[in-house]
Amino acid sequence: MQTQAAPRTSKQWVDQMLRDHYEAARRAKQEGRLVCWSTSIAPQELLTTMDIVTMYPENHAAAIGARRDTETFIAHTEAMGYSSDLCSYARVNLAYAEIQHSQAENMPMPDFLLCTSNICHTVIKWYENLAKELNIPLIMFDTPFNHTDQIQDHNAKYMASQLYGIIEQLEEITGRRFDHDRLRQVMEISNETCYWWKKATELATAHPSPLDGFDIFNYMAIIVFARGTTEARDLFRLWHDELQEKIRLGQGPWKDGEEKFRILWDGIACWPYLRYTYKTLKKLGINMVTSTYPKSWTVSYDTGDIEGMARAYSGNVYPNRNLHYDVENMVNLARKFDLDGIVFHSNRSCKLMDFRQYEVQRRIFEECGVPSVIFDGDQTDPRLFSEAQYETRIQALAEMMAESKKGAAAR
Amino acid sequence: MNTLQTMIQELCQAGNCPAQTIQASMTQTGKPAVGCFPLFVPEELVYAAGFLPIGLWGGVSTFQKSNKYIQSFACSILRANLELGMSGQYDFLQAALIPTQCDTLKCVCENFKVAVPKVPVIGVTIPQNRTAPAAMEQLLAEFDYLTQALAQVQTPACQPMPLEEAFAIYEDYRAVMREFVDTVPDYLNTITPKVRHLLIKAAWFMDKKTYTEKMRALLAALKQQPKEEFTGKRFLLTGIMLDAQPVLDLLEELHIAVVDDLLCHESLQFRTPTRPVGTAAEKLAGRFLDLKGVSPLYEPGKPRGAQLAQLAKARGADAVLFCLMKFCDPEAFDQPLVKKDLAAAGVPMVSIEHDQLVESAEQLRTRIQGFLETQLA
Repeated sequence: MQTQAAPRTSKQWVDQMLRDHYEAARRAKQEGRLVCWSTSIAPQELLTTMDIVTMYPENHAAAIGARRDTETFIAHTEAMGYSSDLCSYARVNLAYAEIQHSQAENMPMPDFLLCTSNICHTVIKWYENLAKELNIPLIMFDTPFNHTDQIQDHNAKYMASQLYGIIEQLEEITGRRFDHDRLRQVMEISNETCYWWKKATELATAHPSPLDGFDIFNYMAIIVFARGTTEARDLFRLWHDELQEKIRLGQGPWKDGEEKFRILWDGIACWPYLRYTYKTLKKLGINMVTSTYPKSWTVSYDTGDIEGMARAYSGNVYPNRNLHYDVENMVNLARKFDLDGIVFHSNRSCKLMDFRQYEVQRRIFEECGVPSVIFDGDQTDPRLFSEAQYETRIQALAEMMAESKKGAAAR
Repeated sequence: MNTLQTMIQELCQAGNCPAQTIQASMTQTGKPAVGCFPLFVPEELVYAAGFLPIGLWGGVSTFQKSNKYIQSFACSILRANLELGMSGQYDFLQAALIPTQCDTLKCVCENFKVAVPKVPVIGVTIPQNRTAPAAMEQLLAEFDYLTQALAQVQTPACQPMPLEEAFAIYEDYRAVMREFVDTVPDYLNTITPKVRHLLIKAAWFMDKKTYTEKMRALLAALKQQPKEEFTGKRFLLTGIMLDAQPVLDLLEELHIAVVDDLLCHESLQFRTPTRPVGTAAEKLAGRFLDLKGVSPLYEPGKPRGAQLAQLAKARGADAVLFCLMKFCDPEAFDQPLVKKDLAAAGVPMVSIEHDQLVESAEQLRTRIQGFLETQLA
């Protein structure tokens, strides 16, 4: 994938990889290679093994959102008859499938789709519609919601069997044999990439955090689309080394400000207001040191273990786990990252992430006394976010965190 | 006629008064009750474990307690279930079966565990990839899991029976209901939209054996009547449910009949034919794998529109009424494509966005009247 010498910093490398990703995909499509559109936490190992060009509509919708270019797409989807209550990633992408042009980047159109239900039920419907409208095959990987603490064995078997079925479907679509040795290599590389992704993001446990947490939102695009490549592995290793160096030098997240408070951001970013949401936090010295994201893409398993891979795709993604897991996960993060507060994004697009937030919020406070606020917004629909409400909530959080710190100092 | 009217009235009353009907059913059968959340759960397992399975499909008009757990942009059926549970209305249940068939159901399954501690939750996993060879195996193992979970909440009052026996009772119920649905188009003056809805709804609150006997008698009495001429418009309904009284009243007022439905709450519970071979458990699993036209379940090729077009033609329906439950994502994804498929098949469709909170159907009146005047004049 990499066409030039590695750029000097990881940030530059990320930008380069993103450009290359879209450009290479468009070129591959022109050359007649198969293109797949996939959900964001899918068994890319199988696609990478088959050397299939894979694009990620969620990444793309986020990029369109960050360019504040969503309104055309949203209006288009609503004209197609879709409700404005639906996930705005889906609305943007369903429109893109018709318009096929955006100011952000252009994705080549897919020859088939891969949908994994671990992130939500919504993607099943979204991809079902895409498959019908584009008249292309849809490969489904169903990862049942884990309402029990552990993944049930019969569901693990069902998932593993589907992965074998996907291999057969890929052989049928491509007309090529699946190379199981190559799969082992890809699994190994994917594990290494996840290792460095996790290791880098965990450096934010340092005081002050060397990581400006909103960077996670940028680097995340890479863990989504390049997890099975050595380039992504090396990028995250470089990112890790850069952060490690900042720790050695005692540097915090910003050159022009001090980290006063450390928070966790729960949920997807408000892409059209990324800068605003970031600056509002930064001016109060609030650094997002972690989120529930890093763990979702730490998809680890034993190389060659297909059922283990199935379990990882089901169990690692927190929206696919029960309330007990959600709370435990966040309590662990609160302790590990020494959090002062939490910001919950009540995201109109994501019912699965939203509808447990109230209870999680209460339990986190009960278990570790970490204050939090919830604000209303949306990942890509700019009409559903209020700057005033967000700012007020963040100010309130800053006050609560300051009080809490004062109390702790007095004790 | 009087006998028929009395039977209709009795069952409509049963459908209209869930709490009283459930209480009466529990007294009559002596069985403890287990609640079944929407949309599809293997009720036969509950019945075989000796419980009275009852449907929990919402039914309140205000939300207070549930706001502590769930935002306002959630499906009203599930908010209502949470509200009723938190208000103690479900305290009599031995357990609640909650299938995780959509994102809101997943979250409510989790919230219910905490918000309604008196009612143990049994999560139900129905595979989405139903054409995958492993789906049958998953379901059979899931049934074992559910049977064990139900055994843990059994009481001495339970009257367990072999699954084969329970399945046969449900098969009988389904056969009678399919015959009822087939018969309704000949009696559209007697079986009005509201009557049809309440008759079918009553099954959720009664022992299926008792209900089936009553429906069989009602059906026999109905069939003895001369077929009726109906001069209004004939609608086919589709969606999760249409349980809003003002909307049903409006249909009647506008002289609209319901000739059939693809509603999860109604005929989709019994429409699917059972596979001819296999054990009772395999046949039960097959019923889930073969369900068609259900928006929360993945269906390759999305044949719901074609299915509706075919049914509309078979029933001589003038139009399809898409009953879009507010904040129901699976339905909202299906709606534009169903509309497109129906248009291609020459079947007019009108959509109404509704929930169980509808107090007045005045806005819908304008919409449906306009549709009647422009599309069906």
